Amino acid sequence: MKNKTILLVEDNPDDEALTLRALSKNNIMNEVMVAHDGAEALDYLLCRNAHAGRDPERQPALILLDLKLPKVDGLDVLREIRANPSTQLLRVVILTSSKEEQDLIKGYRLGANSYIRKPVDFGQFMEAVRQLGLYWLVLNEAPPSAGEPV
Amino acid sequence: MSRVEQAASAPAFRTASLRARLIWLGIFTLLPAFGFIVYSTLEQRQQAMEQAKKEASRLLQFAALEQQQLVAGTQQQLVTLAQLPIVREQALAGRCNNTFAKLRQQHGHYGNLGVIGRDGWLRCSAVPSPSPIYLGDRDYFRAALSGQIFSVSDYQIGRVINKSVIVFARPVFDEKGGIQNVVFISVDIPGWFKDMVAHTPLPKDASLMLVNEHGTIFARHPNPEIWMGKTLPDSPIIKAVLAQPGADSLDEIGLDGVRRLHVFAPIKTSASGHAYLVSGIPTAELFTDVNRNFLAALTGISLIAVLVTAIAWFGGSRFILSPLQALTDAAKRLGAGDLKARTGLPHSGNELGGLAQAFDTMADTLEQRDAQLRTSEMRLANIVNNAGDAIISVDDDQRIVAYNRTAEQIFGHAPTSVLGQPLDMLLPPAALSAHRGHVRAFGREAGTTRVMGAGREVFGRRADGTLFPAEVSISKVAEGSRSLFTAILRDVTERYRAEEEIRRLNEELERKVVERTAQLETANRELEAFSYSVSHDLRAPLRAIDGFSQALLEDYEANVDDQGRHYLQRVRAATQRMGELIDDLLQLSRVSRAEMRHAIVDMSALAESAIEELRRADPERQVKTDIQPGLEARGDPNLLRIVLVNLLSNAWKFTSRQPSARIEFGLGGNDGERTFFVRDNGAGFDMQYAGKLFGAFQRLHSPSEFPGTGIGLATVQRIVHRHGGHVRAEGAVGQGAAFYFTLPFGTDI
Repeated sequence: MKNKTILLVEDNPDDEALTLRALSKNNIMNEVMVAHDGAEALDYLLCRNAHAGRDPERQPALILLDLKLPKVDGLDVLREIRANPSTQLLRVVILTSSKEEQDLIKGYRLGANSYIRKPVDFGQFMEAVRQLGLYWLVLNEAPPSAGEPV
Repeated sequence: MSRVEQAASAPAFRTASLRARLIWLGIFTLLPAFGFIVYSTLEQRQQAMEQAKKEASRLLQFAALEQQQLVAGTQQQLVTLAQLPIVREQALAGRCNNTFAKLRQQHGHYGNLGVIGRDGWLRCSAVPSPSPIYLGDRDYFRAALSGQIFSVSDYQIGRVINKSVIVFARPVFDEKGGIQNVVFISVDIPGWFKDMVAHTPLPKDASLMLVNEHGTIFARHPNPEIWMGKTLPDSPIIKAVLAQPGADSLDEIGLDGVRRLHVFAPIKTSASGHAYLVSGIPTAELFTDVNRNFLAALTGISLIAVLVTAIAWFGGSRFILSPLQALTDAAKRLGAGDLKARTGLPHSGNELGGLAQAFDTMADTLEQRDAQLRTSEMRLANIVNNAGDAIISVDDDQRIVAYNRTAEQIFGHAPTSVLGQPLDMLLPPAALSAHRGHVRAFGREAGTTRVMGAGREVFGRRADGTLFPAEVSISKVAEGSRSLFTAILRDVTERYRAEEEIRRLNEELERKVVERTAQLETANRELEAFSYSVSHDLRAPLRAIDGFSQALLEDYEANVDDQGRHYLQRVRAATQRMGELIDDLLQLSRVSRAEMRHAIVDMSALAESAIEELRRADPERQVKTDIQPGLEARGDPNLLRIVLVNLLSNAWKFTSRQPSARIEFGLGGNDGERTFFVRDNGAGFDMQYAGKLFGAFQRLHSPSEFPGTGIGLATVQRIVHRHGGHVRAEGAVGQGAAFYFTLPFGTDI
């Protein structure tokens, strides 16, 4: 489990800190890679620009994707992930403040594996993260060709 | 008659004629009476004649009888005389004269008696003669001498007595049968006649006459002395008797000039001679009465005729001619167009009254009809003249025969310059030939009305030459063998202009709509972006506040005292409340913006699931719920779910202090609409604040009593309004609340 990287795409440092705190509080000790905007997330995933030297075979086990992101919007990131053969099978959980119906629909339509709204209540957020980790990193079987242990 | 005609004036000829007819009619009715009078008079005359004839005959018979008696008596006497010795004996002849004289005195009618010797000399005579008298030449003597037993002479004048006599003679035979002498008796005819007349009852002025075949008068009554012995074969009566011996009666003038009815009978006298006894009754006397009666009757009938004429004249004038004249005058006036003309006659029950009544009624009807016709004509003329459309009629030759006021206004031609002119002057020059073709085609069509130039624009030409668009319908009416075409025309210039304006405005409106829509879309997009930002960005700091407060509590537990921990808890509560507020606000804005979709919604199921959720979230609560099953509505399922969730959550919340809480959902209301309600027995509210309930952020309770954002009911109201319904609340403090809402879209399910 520790070998599985989590990619957190989050531009808000508060949310980043709280998310990381929730993960660690829930004993999810996986390596967390944080991208602060969509472009960076895509660079990382597609091993380009700053991440050009990265091994394309080592893809994250779970992507926690915020929707409202600078540069490249979360939904565009998702679309790009699903469009690219090397990333199309990655598990993407949308973790966002938005409860907009349109965002939900678009998210699922573009192939999100899950959609979680970040509650204001940190206790609830903790609980959500705990279940998320338990489900996606422990219970759920990953597709064979993607997210294999690095 | 002719005078009546002359008296009447020429126009009154017919009335005079009628009057004359009346008079003739009256007179004709008198004709039978007149005829009867004439007949009766003739009959009376006939009767008088018969009477006279009867009397004359009676007189004649009487005289004839007397005459026969005379003859018979004389014959008897002669027989006796012939036996006398004084006749037979010559010796005794001396006494003969005396004896005969005595005999003559005894017989007053014997003029003489005597004996004549065979030698013809008078031997014996009752009337002595101074000288011997020879009678041998007398016819009676010769007849006696020839052996005739009884001979009679003609009427003759006796030679002895010198008077008119008839002599009867008889021979006297001796023993040897030889004739000794002749005895004779001469009868004094005038005397006898006079005596006979004297004892015969004679009618007044009757006449009796004895006349022989030669017209010699032997005796006559009256005035025998004038006529005796005269021979008058040419006097009218004698001539008539002699000429018509077989006549029954003779109406002739007598010898004395008096007209009489005569009858006559022949009397045998001598062997050779005839005589006639003629009796006469004067006719003048006879017819006096008859004629007087006739005259009286004639006078009477003439008077009646005059009276009838007068009655016919004046009565006819009064009772027939005047009324007829009145009728004629009235009829003439009526014929001349005076519809007020009436007869002025009483409508009595007779024929003239009936005629007058019929006439007056006819005139009344005529007048009424005329008035109605005038009214109708005037109305029609007013309608035509005041019609909002131009009305123009043309005849077969396309000449204008009618042109109303509106036509004048539209075309600008005065009626005088248009009537009788060709229609062409009102048409655009370019349309003339086509128009003629259209009219000809329409004239042949079976239809009577149609819209001109259907589907294309028709133009008219004004007096100033300008053209204008028109809407025209034409109709065709047959007037005898000709046709009248009437066009009803409307100047649609204004309408065209208005339509143009409408088209322009519509285009502008469309353009504006497009603009506004674009603006609205932009605004909507902005609003959505804003909402997105709100939902996404406003929550992030809250989450941070809450999260780091929690982190502080967890990580620095030892350095924070109870007071500090309490404050941090309050910070977290406030952030959570802020989060709820943001969520509710987002929902409120979302229900306003969200696109509506319509479906049949199972309201009961929605309510059940909402209650189920509430129970799950708050399992300790004991709430009795009563949800009417099977209620459906038409609307947006998501929005309606929000409505029920909000209302049921409220009920759930406000019954939290009620030990036996009860929540109902159902369909009710008494205002004729399908009204859903959510009712609880919770805290309720003061009705004076009911108006505030549905405003955003309006709360009737403090958050410490019951938590809430004050946006739920505003959201409910907005959704119900978007469905076209309305929502209201009822309640009282401590006695629960009820929320009613209608969903008109649902009424058709």
